[in-house]
Amino acid sequence: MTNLFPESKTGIVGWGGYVPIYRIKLSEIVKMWGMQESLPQILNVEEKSVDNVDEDALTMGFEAARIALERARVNPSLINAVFFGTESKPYAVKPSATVIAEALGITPVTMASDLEFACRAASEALRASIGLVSSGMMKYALVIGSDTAQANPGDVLELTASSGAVAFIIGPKEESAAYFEASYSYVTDTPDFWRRALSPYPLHGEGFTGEPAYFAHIVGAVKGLMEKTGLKPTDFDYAVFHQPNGRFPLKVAQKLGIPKEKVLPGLVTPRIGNTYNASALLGLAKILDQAKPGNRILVAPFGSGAGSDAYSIVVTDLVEEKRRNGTLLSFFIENKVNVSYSTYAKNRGLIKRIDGWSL
Amino acid sequence: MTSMYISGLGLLPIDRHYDKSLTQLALEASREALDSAGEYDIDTIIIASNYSTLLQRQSMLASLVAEELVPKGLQVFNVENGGASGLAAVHLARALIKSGLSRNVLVIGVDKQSDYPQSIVNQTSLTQVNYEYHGVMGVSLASLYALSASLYLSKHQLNEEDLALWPVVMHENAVDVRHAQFKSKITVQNVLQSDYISAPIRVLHAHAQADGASAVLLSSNKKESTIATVEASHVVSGKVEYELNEDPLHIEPVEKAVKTVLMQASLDKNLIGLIEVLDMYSIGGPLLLESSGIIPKGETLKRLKEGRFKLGDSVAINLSGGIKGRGFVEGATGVYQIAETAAFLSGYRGYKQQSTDYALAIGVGGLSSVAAVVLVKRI
Repeated sequence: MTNLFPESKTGIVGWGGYVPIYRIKLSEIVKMWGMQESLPQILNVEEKSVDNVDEDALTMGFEAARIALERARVNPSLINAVFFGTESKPYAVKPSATVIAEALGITPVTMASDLEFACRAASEALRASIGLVSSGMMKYALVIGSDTAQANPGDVLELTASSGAVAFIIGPKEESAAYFEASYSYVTDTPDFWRRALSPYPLHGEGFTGEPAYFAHIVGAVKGLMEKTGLKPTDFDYAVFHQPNGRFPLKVAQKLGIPKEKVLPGLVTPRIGNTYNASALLGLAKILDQAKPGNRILVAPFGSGAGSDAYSIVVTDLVEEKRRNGTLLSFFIENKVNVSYSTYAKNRGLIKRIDGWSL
Repeated sequence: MTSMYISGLGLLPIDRHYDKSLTQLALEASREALDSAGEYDIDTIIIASNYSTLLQRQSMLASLVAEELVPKGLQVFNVENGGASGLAAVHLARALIKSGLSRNVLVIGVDKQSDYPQSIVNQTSLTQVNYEYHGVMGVSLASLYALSASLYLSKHQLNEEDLALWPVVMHENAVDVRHAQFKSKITVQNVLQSDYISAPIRVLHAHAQADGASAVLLSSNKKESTIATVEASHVVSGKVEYELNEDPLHIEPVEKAVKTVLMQASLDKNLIGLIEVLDMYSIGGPLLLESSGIIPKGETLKRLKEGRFKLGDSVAINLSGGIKGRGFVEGATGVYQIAETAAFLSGYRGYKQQSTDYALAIGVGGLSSVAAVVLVKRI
């Protein structure tokens, strides 16, 4: 690459992922609603994660951020921005970012806000943080993507909408386990998936979520990145795309001429479902848990509505040491307890219950 | 019989055209037909659309298209006759031309289903049967066709594997049809592994939701660009409640319409070498073909298994790929069928050619609500 882009001054100084312990098998949901039996196989997802009764996007986001901070080993007060990307924030009004910032000792000299762009808000936060750090406005920024994704019971979305969180601390390239080479955003007004204010569940345009939304935007972002940088599919060792199911990332890779062997190491959805804002970025966390110095990673999250960002990320010599300093994502993926639909329904608040006596 | 000349074809690819409105699709197909026809002074536009008022909430489609295409003021008509809308529109065009009231009629078929989720489109399709009787009970077109398939298979001692051959052959036929929605092959195993919608009808017996438009220019006079003629046509109403048919495996309006068409043309049925038939949920194919009297009862799937009905056979069936391969655009289907028969009779612009003089297009609305049949002849 002949041009050096502003992104290359920055990198990931710490990362962390968190997935709740509970899983429900998709076959259980299929049985519950009398859905097409082959759907789990078609979606290439076996089970999805389920948050516990005392978990929400905020608590999971904290867990992931704590691991990221352990890896970053930076003074929390030097983090001057906390961005929380989610579409399932526990408070409609009152930032979750401030709670996490306070819990981690980042407050009070910091920016903090919650961002919403369906599954892509955390990715937008990532790109904004790259700008804040590369400009010299601050040394570190914390980006969190976390969701307890909602789905209308019985809708095909229920098969994949799951819970999980991921966090990255963005800082100077010299302290990074992986640095950003370049990035590219591709956004249009495409109404493929939405949730109106006060509506408990989102709606979607079925087939419209595919070609004109997911595929068009990821392909647009990735091709834009490649054109901007001169990089080719063969220049990347790993490719991570937004993972609404286990099939789309492989299909978009095929469209882009990227072999599936480069996608499978970062594909987490078949085991835990679609964690929305954490989806592709958990895939990146998983790659950072295994990549070697010098490896180049293509990352392209996607959010409905719709947009995608493509990043070229190069792994540095610091990756192995930092990896040792935090819990690996595989711990959370492997450490699981399967639950029935009824337990899942209780945990997810699908059962309406009134309060008992109160003073 | 006075012939009616087909002098221009518009066959838009069937797909999910998210970026195009219903009117845009109709206009694109019209312009393609008019460009291929050369200079024509259109005096009439007939549009066949089954869903425009229900899904797009737009009536007056023919006026909308005329306003863009020929603003001078034309005779305009909108035809809604379920899956037989397009063929019924061609029949009306023929009546106008035969009567001398029209000289050059542009018949357009258009529908757009991808704007809505499946549940809405499925519910809308029930307006083709008696809605107060069936629709409110939650019956679907697929379940009604499933009843007929079940009866057909048991009566003729056939099994699901035999029925699965229909979509397999249809996909094969569509491979080289440039406007087809699916140009990929499937296997009997694929069909049998797909889930039931309503036994014995499976997902791979059903069409995909799609958008499209087709147009044909029909004229009283032969032109340089004429590629085929319409020799006869007829429309016959039937039982809107499928189960009220005396024999559910015999769609009487189809028999009547085909008989009338052959009589109009004084044609022996054995001279028909190409049939485009509306093959809803696979079983619609055998059901309509055998009701027409052209294929003996219980023989369609057996002959298909013997490798019959392909390009070059004495009678080729659905070279377009039918609703599975070419795709299904409800009210537009009949216009696609007419354009396809003309294309396959003449080898029009690279389309494959069946060596025969006569082709029949057969369609129904609902299961037996109405039948429309058009006879097309090679020039």
